[in-house]
Amino acid sequence: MTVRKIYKYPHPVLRQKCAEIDVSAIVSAEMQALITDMLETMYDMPGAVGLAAPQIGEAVRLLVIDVTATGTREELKVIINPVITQQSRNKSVREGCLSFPEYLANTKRATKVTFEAYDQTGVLQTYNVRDLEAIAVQHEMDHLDGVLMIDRITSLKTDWIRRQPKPNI
Amino acid sequence: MSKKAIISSVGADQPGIVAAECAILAKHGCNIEDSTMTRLGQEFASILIVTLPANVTVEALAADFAEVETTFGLIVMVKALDDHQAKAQPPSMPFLISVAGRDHTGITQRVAEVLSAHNVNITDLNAQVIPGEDGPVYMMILEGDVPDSVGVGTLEEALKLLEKEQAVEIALRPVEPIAL
Repeated sequence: MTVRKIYKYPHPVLRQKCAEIDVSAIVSAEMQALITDMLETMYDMPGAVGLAAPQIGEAVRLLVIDVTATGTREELKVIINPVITQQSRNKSVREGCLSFPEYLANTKRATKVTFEAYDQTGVLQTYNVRDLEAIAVQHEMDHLDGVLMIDRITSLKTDWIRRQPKPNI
Repeated sequence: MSKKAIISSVGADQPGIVAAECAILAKHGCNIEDSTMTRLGQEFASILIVTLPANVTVEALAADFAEVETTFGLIVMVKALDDHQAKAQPPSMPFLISVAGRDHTGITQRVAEVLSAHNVNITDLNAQVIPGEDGPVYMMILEGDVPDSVGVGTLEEALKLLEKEQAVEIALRPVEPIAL
């Protein structure tokens, strides 16, 4: 199992519309290995709460989310072929992306989302998520359609923010 | 008719420039009508449009700004602003145009050239270079008024050709005003 390289913009894989995963293949050794790689890669990045498969070069509709970002896997969700079925009104939020590691973007996201997706055992589930988890799901689902933070902003001056370097302590 | 002046300042950024300039404006009773102030790289850059009281001359304002110029090592220009009539603009729609891709010389020039050829008036432009997968990435977002007579489809076609020519991504999005 491997911590994989995270591709950064403008790598073309980040612009691909990702392929649906064959449900019968979810439990295959190959897919389970990819899921494990995704998790190891996400937990290897301090503070990361989500990762989409194209970010590690795999153009398939798979993402992982864990808003606790602690590696305890209490809130971990492995999400395959997700489809949003219901969402609340949009709210302005500030989000980051491992493919633009030095920047944050002001975007608009629904704060409550209901979606259907297959879990890592191949069972179709319905999820109701809110706040950070809802924002993370929408951000990672954008990746599955080749949509990036830069497509969601309207001003470099007001919506595109350089992360402050951490002070040396 | 009210007198107006335009004041531009550029120089190495440091604390106190805005305070010093605003103190002069306050001393003369000038009102700031429109302004843009920012830091480009390490340089402070500002442009202000101010209204002057009847008893204040542009020359008196310029004399005080000359002191700020010396104190902070800026280049300042103070100029009377003609109260000219705005040129009649053809009917148009505002659009956002975003450009992103590997950085190289000439992207802005070619985008501006194509927009000019389609009579698009650029009303705002911001650009940054950020780190990317294989090197620096150029990002630009500009706002422009696309004349109705040109048609968005025609402009889109021209920008698609430019995408290939410059190996960048270009997106054209309408600025949709929300009526409240």
